[in-house]
Amino acid sequence: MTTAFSVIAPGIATSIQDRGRFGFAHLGLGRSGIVDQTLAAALNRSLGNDPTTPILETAGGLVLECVTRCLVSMSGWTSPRLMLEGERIQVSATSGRQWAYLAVAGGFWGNPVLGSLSADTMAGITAVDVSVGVSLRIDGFTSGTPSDLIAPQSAETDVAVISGPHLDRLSPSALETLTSTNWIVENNSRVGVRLVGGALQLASEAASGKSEPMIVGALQIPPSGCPIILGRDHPVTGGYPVAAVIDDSGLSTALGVAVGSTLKFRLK
Amino acid sequence: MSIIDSIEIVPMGTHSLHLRLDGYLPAAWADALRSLNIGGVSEVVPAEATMLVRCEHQRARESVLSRLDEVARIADETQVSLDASPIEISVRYDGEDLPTIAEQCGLSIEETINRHCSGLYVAEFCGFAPGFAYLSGLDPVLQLPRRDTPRTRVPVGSVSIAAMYSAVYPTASPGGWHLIGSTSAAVWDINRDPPALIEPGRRVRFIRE
Repeated sequence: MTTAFSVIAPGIATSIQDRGRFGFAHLGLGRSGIVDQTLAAALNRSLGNDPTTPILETAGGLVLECVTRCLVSMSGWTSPRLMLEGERIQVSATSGRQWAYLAVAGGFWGNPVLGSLSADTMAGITAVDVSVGVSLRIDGFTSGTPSDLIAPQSAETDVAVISGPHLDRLSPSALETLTSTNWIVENNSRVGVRLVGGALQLASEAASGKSEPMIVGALQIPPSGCPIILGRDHPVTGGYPVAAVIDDSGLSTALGVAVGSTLKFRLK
Repeated sequence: MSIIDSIEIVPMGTHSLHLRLDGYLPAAWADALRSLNIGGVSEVVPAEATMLVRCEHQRARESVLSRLDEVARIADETQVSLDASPIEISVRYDGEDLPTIAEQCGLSIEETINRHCSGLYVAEFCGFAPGFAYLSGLDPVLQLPRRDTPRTRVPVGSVSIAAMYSAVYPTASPGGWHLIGSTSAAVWDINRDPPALIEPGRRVRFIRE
């Protein structure tokens, strides 16, 4: 492994992410992992990396200085670029997206925690520190061949959902409200995406008081009726009813959308 | 009648399943299902009365559905074997809330401690924080609602009670449970695999230090 970058400014909510941790949810530790997997996969592939090779994820303001020349792909670019020693780069999300990524040929390097380099904000796990002055190391080898282009991202904000499992704890009109409202993203963190713009009605016996297992993309309905989409670092159990779960095809879109943007849901 | 006719199975997301297991111990079902090592089943997460089976593809989901009768059978057997070997956790009964717990339950401090450490507990599920196991089996007399005002910081290793459960705080965190004692047992350690000392389904005894 080689030192490739020095962190000049850590930016907001910056971390190293990969595919996450598998098989620990029953112990209270979620999967974590890259939020916008579609975008991260496109950047990694453009460098010849596997789609979930460890990558830098940030909500903006990250500034790095290149220490060793390396091939890099970043949010907003159309193709990879060779960065030279001493060159500085700022990583910021493109319009409409909350999360920006910087991928490097070979991927970032570190000591995995329970099989992953992903930082988990919920569990307080940081495998790779990304603070001011830190040196980030890379693995140096790619398994594939870089392509010249980064696959363009769709600007879709309409995502498919699968209804349930807690429809019995919601009013019969709840799904209609969910699919007919133009939801506005009020807040977007790795734990969840908070939506406003409407309210789903809960059934009178909505509060079961019991903890239920949760999954990424679940649309939890708190007493306010405004849905919260559970993010990659979601708690593994929760008490609010789940009206629907985002289809795998729409997870990157729904979790990656910027604060202030609109989201629409349709039943699959 | 097949056992799966008596439980409710609902899809949860693209390929995953949500099982309502009223009258069964979800932790035992989860353990049993995990022991089958079905390809494409990435997580089996028990909760209070339900269980999530996270499947990565349709094939995995179909295999799970076709083997639920077998899961129910193994779950019955596992429950018996787990009873035989409880995890023992030694506790210093020095919790900040011990006097108030005793007072609210109308017991002496000695009697409060005896009732807490004489129970055989079952780890029903984990949640709230990594490694935080909800242990059922708390003496009914000790069942109090959560504190009105949660603490902003509960020390690691705090042995606590709330509602029908007891638990050990695996890390320092905010928390609304009543603190009855403390332990030096490492309940959560990310450098160990499994990182959690108390896995769902395990029996637990508290031993007075």
